[in-house]
Amino acid sequence: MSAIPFDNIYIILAFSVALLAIGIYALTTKQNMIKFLIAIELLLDAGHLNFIAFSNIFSTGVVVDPLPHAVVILSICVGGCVAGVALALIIQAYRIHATLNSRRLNQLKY
Amino acid sequence: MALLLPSAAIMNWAIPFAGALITPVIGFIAGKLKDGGAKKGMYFVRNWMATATSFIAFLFSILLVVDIYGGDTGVELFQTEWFFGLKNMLGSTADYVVEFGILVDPLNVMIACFATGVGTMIMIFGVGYMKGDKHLDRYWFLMQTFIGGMVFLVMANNFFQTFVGWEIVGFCSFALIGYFFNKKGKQDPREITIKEETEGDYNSHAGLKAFITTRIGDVAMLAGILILFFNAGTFNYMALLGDTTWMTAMGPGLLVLTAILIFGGAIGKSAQFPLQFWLPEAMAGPTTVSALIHAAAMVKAGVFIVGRTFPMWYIGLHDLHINSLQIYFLVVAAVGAFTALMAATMGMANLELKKILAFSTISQLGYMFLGLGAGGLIGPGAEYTGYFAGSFHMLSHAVFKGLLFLSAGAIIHSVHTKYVDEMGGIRKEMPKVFWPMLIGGLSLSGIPILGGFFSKESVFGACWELYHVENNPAGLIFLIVAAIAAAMTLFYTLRFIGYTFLGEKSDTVKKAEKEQGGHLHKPSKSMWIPLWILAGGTIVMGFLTPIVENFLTRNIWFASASWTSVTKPILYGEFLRHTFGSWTFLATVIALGVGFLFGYMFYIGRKWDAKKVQENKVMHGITTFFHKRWYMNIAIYWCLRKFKRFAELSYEYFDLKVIDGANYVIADGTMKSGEVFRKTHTGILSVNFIYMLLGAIILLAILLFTI
Repeated sequence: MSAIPFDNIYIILAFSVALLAIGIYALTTKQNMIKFLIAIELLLDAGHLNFIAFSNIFSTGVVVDPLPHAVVILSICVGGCVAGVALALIIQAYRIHATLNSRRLNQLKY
Repeated sequence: MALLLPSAAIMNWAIPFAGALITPVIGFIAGKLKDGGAKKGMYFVRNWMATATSFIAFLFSILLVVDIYGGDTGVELFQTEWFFGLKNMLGSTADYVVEFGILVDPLNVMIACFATGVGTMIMIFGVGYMKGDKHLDRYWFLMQTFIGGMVFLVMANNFFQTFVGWEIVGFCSFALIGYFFNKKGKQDPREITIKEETEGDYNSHAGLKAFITTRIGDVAMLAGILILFFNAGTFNYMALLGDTTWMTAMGPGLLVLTAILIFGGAIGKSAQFPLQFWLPEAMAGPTTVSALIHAAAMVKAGVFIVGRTFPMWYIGLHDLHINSLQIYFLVVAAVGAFTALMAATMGMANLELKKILAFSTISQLGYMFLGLGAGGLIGPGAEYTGYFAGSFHMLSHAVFKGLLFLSAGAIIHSVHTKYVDEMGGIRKEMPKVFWPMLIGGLSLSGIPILGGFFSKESVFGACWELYHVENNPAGLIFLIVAAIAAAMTLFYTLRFIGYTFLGEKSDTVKKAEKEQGGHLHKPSKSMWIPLWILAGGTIVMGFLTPIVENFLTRNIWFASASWTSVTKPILYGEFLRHTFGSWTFLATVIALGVGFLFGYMFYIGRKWDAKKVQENKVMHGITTFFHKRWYMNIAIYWCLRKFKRFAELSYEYFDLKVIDGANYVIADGTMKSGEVFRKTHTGILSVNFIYMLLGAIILLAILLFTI
């Protein structure tokens, strides 16, 4: 088994940047809370990709450093839980306010 | 023998503490019961338990005496580290450890014996005296804690533990002096006023006064202890004495300062000259409390700490030749001598029975300090004269002062007045109180063969020794002052005995008789039996003198110091020759003769009229001066009132204007800035996110441009 060639990292990083850009775009322009959630997940995945990409560059031989992979797997799990909690909050917000539009949820505003 | 030691040294303070903890439980359960035999029984148990615990503690203390004769002296027990990890404090490399432990040596065993022994008598008396009081749970709890705390204090093997006991005793005295805080007598005024009254009046004020005044001394003592700790690296008495290099390392100036600071604690607790004004007010508590404070516990703690540190400073002065410590011993002796004289003059003019006894306590405590201070100045050769004088006077004083206070309590209990000029002619009515009180009074004034004579004589002896052996003129001055105070002591003893028991029955006594059905209340058994036991103890104490001397010289501290003779043999012949064949005996005889002449003429034989003497303007002025306690109490209150006014003004101008003003400015500013900045809180999530992004970009930019 050989390590991923070093040049390929740029492809992965570019993909990660694209994901980040999409996520930021969605967070700044959209108003739907479900879309927010998807955007946050995208941001998270961009981070995960970065981790995976950089996990290779310091490894000298054939073996890929397993630690970043472990961290990323853990983070995905935690991210899943966070998404679950967020969904539950969104459902509650929908039940109470009958809307998914975040601009309507402005009761705490001055 | 040694087997007795470990448990006895713990039990003699643990048992009173345990009794104190059980007392409220029994009281609580009894309070829930219906009236009847069970309730009565439980109250009976509660009341007598204090006597039982004190007595058991007394027995354990006696076991320790046996142990010391078996050779166990200066033994440390149960040494464990209490707090540790205090290394490298103040940049030193010494390993600081605060220990918990028990030290057994003659001085503290003697104090434990009389604290618990006289304490037992006071407890028995208290059962009769406090009968019918509604708050006895509190009373018995505090009384037992008091005894336990006192024994804990003296049995400690280090300064820190002693200080803990010191504060327990201080708190208990505060709570007991203010025991009647919610009943009879004059209620506490809002304003600070000058008081010349005692039992039952201004109770919580008196308690607080005692607490705060002694606290001033405590602060000084704590400072002294801590200076010692940081320089020597230990609180332990034996360790401090074992390796005395710290003394030279500290330097003479700091050393004498430390010694005097620790003595400051003793000044506060034992009511010596600058801090003596709390003790007369401490008479506000029940008489049993006064007896406990004066005879068994509390005020003896001050003498104890001076006695405890005595060998340390003695070695410093005579072995290491740190001459500045002479100042310390001179201060101790001078404070003692001056207080002895001053309090005696106050006692001559006062009209309250208990207060006269309070002044006599201050005066006698002065003698103890005088003995210890003079003893420290006498070099090796005459050795323990002063040490023995101070310690033995503490013992004999405990017995006769306990007796006097309990007698006074019995009288006040029957006559319902505390002023001696309202009493009179009750000798025939109360012979069971008269004779013990007479014995106690004579012992107090130092009539030969009674305990008080020998102890006071040994104080005189220490002063004479200082003059004669060391050629120190201070010794002669101390001797003269002590002799004058002794004359005054006999004078006021005769005065209060004459006023109280002799002469015509006064109107107050007649009124009390009428109220009580023709005769005064006979004191109950639990009240007069302790008096006779203590009177017996006072007489026996005189014969015990050489034995106590022998006992006290078994102190291991002496063996480790430059004290040449270790144990003094019990030789009655030499002792009596030494006592009666010395110049100090002449001084005693002259002093007693003068005191007796005036006391007899004025108050016993009534050949001269005290009232007529008062008409003389000069005499009247002097009497008023003494009666007002040299105007010291008034001066203190004057200072306090001025300070209170200063505090009020600073509250008005500094606290309200500056501090509160600053607060308002800050609060208003916060509110106004909030008004401005809340506009930025749009509540739109996307906008927030953009702010966040902006922040991130700025941070990135900073990072990029700075690297």
